[in-house]
Amino acid sequence: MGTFNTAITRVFDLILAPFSAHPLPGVVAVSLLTGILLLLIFRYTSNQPGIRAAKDLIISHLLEVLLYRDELRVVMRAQARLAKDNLRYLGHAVVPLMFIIPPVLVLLVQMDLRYSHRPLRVGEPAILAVKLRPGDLSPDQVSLSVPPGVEVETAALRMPTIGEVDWRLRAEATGQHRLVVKVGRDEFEKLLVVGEQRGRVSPRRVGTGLWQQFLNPGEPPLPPDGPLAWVSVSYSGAPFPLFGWRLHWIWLWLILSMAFGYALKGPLRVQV
Amino acid sequence: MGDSPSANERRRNQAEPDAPRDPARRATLKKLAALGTLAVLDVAALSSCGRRLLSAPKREKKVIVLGLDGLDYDITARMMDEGSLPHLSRLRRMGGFRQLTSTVPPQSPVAWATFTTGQDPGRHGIYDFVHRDPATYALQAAIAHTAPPELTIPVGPWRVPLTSPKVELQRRGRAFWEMLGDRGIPCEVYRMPSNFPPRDTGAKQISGLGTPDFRGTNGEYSYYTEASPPPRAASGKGFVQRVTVREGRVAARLIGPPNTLHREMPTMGVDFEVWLDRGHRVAKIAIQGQEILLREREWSEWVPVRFVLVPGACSRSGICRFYLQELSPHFKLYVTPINFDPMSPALTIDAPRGFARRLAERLGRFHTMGLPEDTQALSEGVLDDGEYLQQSASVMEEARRMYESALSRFRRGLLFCYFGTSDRTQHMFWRTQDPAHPAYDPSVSREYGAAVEECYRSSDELVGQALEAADGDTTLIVLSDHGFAPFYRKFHLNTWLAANGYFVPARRTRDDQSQYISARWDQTSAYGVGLNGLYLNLKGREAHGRVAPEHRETIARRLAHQLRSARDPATGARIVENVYFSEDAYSAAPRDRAPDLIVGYARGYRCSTASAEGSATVEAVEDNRGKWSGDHCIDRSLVPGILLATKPIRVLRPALPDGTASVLAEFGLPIPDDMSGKAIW
Repeated sequence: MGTFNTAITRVFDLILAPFSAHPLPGVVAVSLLTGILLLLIFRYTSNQPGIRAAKDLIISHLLEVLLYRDELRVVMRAQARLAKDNLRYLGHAVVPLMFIIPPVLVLLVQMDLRYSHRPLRVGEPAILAVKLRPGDLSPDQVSLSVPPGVEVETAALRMPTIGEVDWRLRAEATGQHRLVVKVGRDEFEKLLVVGEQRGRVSPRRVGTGLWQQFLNPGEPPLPPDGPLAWVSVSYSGAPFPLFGWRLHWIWLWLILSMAFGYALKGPLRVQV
Repeated sequence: MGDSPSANERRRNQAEPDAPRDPARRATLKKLAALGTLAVLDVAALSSCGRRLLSAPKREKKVIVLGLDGLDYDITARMMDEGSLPHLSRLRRMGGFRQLTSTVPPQSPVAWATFTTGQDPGRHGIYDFVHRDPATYALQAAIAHTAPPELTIPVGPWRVPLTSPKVELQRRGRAFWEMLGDRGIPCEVYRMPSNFPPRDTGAKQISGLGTPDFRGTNGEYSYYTEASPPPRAASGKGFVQRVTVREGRVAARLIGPPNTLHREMPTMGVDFEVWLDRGHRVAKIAIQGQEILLREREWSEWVPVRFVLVPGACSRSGICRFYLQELSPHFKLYVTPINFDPMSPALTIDAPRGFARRLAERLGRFHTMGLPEDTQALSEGVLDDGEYLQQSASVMEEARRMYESALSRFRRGLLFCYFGTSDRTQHMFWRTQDPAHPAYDPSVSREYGAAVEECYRSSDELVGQALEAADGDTTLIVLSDHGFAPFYRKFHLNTWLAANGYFVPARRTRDDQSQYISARWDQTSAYGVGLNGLYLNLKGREAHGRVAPEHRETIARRLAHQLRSARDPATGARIVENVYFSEDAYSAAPRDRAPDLIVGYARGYRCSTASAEGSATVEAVEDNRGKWSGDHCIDRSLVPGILLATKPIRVLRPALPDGTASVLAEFGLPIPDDMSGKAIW
């Protein structure tokens, strides 16, 4: 999974490189690509004549309802057929959906890595949390060392009942700082990103579990046989300011990719 | 005018193909074009000069008004003479330093409402912190009234409002920034008291004193403790919860406001937990997905909390700060009163809408309550002196950040900034600098005896910043609404009225939290409400009036005489310096809400809080041993405020409305007839 994550992350780095100055053009570009990609997947994996036929039937049943609205039996029959053809229409979407879900998941995870959180600002605090695997280890055995540019403001908060240790950090200089969590003789790194420039921000570095590793692609996974389940930094969220609202990027992406998809389905000759 | 070169060029290029070919005609047209251009330029120049001559000097004028609540004339003068207030001293050399006569009574809501409108309380309608409803004898907040939505429809347990709830500013009269706004003069008004909710008049405003907390009160803290709470806190106004620590964890609930959309109006709350590490003296508060790690005796930043009115449909945001007071031997956690979240305020605290959010985005979240320093928690022993001063310093810091930001962006028009920390510090720390005070403690004095002078020095720094920001076109006015005096002895006005046969208290149970004056109205002819107000139980005005209107003057005069003659049984000193008849003190005819008499107490005395809330106690006068040890709700002649300006002040004894008139005069506006002030220069 580590190699897969690294490769995919580099691909997205390349795609988004021209839009690194501001996140909004990046989201717009990805939404456009998403719209095109999903339309193409839909076109080549769906039964396009079947979809067209189902849509035609749905329209004909709707007309039937309108034209014969005084004849209850006809209207009822048309309603039943409308429901049946709607189901058939939805059924045509099942296969393409199977093809659409995996790339969309990858895309969402990569977007999340870039747009859900912002780097810490200089002077801003954050909590570093370390979760131990269930076992004999005590939180007392966990310590932290930080490079210049990061200050540890509190002693470790040890929570033995849930196997967690937390510290409050404060960023003092911009850059990518490597925090080192020591457990006995073992050392584990966690990246702390500080600065105004938006980019990849990995809130959590995880250990075992393919799904968890897939969801947290920003850093290589922790050793599977190591003592740590995860290490996390509490970065702030990074909503998009838009017309006085503060939107999570996913809403923007959803609306834009649907709009692009709708606008391009004609030129790309896709029946949706 | 205003055409860019590229636009001109475009126009020229477009014109060329149609240009006449005949050279003579071309020359004539050129001349005409040149004359036309000259004419246009002349008109533009004339118009520009005209505008400049007629209005530009006033429009470019800048006026900064710095409102420093409670800065006392005598203390300021002494500290200036000692060289402790260099910026105020510089201002004194520039324009002079005057006593500023306060209002009757010299209370902040009343005085600032007078400065806002240039009118006395009879016109602007704010007479005290508290008013009473003559129809019900209920106590009412003087500055704003709230009313639930008029139309609701029941949907299951919910009441869906069809109209908005009403929150109305009770201050009448036009604010001076409205008058300036009419002339296109931009205004920014930060935290003006008696301005909640602010009216959207074009000026940028953040409301001040009078803005309640999220629960609609003057500030109710929450306190979670493993040990017994301080005795005064147990029966106090905050929410005190005993908690237990299990496996290093505390589960608790932050109490919110009542759910007004629910039929039974249950109190809303937010559960949170605290993880403790007593060995390392740190704890983590986990609330609504947010985690805050604190050391012992450390304050959090503002934490947003969301209270759900209808699940999935409607919620409201507030903000609070946590203070991890103690971890060992006992867990103690203090939470500030919940303020409105400036990012999405539940009620109107700003104008135009969104101004508070923009400020919060730029400067970080900030307190929105009118009385942000938790004097209640200090009085009830939940916070100690040092902890209170930490909170007070952070309040001041937030206000200062806002002030600095406003100063840095200020280009023209009016900027008003209010600071109230000086008032609250004198209220709470007078006892530390006055050995004659019953609550004086030498050991406390050694540690905190400089707190009052320190707040004067902070105020002086604010003046310094304004002077630095001011240029030749700027007039700076610095004023306070009243001075300060010791509060040695509490006078229970209603008890005194009872002893003199005017007031017959009704029995009130110990748990009675009702907001009604408890009296036997059929036997009561006068009652006290608020810190200076005295009302007759007048027939035709009060619901159970006893005093006939034709006897009003006789009884009022007798009462005034008796009050002026009242002596402290312990010392023989006069308790009351002066008693004012509202019809004499105010220019407009007193309305239903105006007290009949306004009591101006002598130095060292003040009406007790119990009496201000309409209750009576056993003794009429007693020592004030509380931490609220300085006050100004006495006779106005004893607590003058201060007035300084960069321009020479010509008036010898200015009063608050003169400040208002001076601001208008600086912009060349006439003084309206219903204003009582005149310009000070």
